[in-house]
Amino acid sequence: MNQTRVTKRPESRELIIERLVSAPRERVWVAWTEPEHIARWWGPFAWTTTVHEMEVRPGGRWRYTLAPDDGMGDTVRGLAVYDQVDAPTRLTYVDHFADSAWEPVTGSAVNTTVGLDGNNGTTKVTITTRFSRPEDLARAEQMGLVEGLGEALVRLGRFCGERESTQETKEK
Amino acid sequence: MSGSPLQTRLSLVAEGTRFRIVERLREGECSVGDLVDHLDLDQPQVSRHLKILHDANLVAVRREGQRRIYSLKPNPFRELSEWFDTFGRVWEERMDALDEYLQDTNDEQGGDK
Repeated sequence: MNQTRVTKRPESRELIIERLVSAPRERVWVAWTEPEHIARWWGPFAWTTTVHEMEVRPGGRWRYTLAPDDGMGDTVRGLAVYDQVDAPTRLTYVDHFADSAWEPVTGSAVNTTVGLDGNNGTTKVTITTRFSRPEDLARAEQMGLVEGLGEALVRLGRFCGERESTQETKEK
Repeated sequence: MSGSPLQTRLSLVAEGTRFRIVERLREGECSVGDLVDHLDLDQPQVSRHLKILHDANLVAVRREGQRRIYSLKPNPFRELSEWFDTFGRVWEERMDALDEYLQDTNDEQGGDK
């Protein structure tokens, strides 16, 4: 089974995610750029993704909601604006939390690059996410949204078997 | 302190000079003089920012003769790091879901290459 490698670069506020998947990159590209496909894997387990708009071109928007299947918790709205669209190898966009009017929440921008590199039916997926400046993150958190997501993630952790949550915490 | 501790700490560390001090301390403990030399700041500035970081329980200080040696306290930074990790976990899970989805749909297509 393939493993995902996550590299943290706190100095540049980047997370780099690398993963090999067993499909040609054209199929991975489709999975990432067509609403009916992405809705089936984008959201966390037991959350439903609904795509409201997806226009994959520079400047085009992708609007989606994530809703918990058990109804416990708020729906999260996401708004991404595509920047570079270079099928089937490179996609860049800026992802935000959105408010109820679909306006991006200040400070929630995450610059995302998706790189697909493949041969022989296997694709290496490399995702680089760069978070906003710390002061912007702090502001986003003031609005309660990041914290809301944090709670969602804690609930999510339960589904995922709570792998490592207790390993490092309890040492005073 | 107002707001959550995490939020307060994010805001405190976000300030430009303090961010540089923290970055420097990540490499190891430093005296005020070391920080003045390495960061090209004046001593009152460095001392003022260190006091803010100390008051927020982000740095520890010990005396060595006349000098005060500062170091990062691990726990608050671990908390920040764990918060950052939650995003990594989302992506791990998402990549599993993508891989699974690709395999399922490949079966549907009769196992093409």
